[in-house]
Amino acid sequence: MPMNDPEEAQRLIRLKRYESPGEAYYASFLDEFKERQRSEMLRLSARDLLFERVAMWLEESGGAKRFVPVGAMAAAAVGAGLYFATASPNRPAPETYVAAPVADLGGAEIVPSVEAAEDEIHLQLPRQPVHATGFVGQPSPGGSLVPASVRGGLREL
Amino acid sequence: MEREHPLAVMPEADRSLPSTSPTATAATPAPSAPVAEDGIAGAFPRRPDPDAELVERARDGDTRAFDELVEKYTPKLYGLVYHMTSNREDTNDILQEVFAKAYRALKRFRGKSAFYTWIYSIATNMTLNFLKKRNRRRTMSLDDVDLAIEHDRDFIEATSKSDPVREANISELQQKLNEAMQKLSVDHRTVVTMFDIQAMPHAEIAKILGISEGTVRSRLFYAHRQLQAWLGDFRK
Repeated sequence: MPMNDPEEAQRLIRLKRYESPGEAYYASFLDEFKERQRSEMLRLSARDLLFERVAMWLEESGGAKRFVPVGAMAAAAVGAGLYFATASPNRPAPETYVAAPVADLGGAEIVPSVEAAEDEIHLQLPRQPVHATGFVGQPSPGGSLVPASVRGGLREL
Repeated sequence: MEREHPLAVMPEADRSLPSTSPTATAATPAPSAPVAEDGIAGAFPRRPDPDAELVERARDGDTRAFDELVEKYTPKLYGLVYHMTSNREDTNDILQEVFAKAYRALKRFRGKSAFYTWIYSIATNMTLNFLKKRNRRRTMSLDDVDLAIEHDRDFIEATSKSDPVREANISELQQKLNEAMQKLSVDHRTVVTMFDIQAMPHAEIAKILGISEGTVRSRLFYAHRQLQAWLGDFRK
């Protein structure tokens, strides 16, 4: 016969309250609890206890939730800082910077481009003495005419 | 030691067992009963925590006071954990951990809720965490059934009908009930344990689980329908 009324199922489930470990269990539970507590105190390190208490505090007081708005504000502040930092090159340059003539090219006042700047770069090597053998550079120590950097290679040959 | 029924620590007005239908609230609006400070509806002011003195003494370092709390709440919390796990060894381990955790956290117990609610929340959370970690359903390890069941009105009524339940022995019935409980989802099993077996009011369940009363009623409704189907097979 199928069960038509959910209350019948409820009545059957309620019978589970008659399941019991017995009075002897409850009588010895406290002793076991004390025994376990003593052994746990010896086993747990101070760090474990601290960790557990912090975790419990976060769990019970919703401590993690408290940090959400603070974290969000911090993230917003960092974001805003980054935005303004990256946006600064687009701002108009100071008047003195634009107006200052850098190079006079036919009377136009322009800021020199990178190419123009490259044109003006001239690599100048320091003047070095020219020896009678045609070598340019410092004479190698020991009076040899072969430069020091080449000498090792010659020895291998 | 005479065990105290879970209802014994609840306010009198909380002991009614309203309908479990999720539509019950809408269909029969509750009278405008004052709502107590702790959120439990009923025509009663918030009663002082009956455990306040023991808790205070325990917080001051009186270990005997905490022992009294352990003795008082062991049967109630045992029932909660056992009916959710259907395993007596697991229940014992979890219960030991619950009291150990409560002892360590007692200094931070502010008394915003009753000690009863607070320690029930600890036990429920620890059991739920345990059940989440327990991947496979473990073999059931069941307690003995008190023979007083034979005098229970529901048992007599259920077994007096012309169906096989009458012929089934008690342990077979126990096995079937526990199997049905373990088939339920953890959330449904929790509310069935609290409401049907431990006779806790909706408001108290909602408070302990941190959900609305509507959610409690809804979970009970669907859990009862499932139980009806599974236990109905038993009666064919």
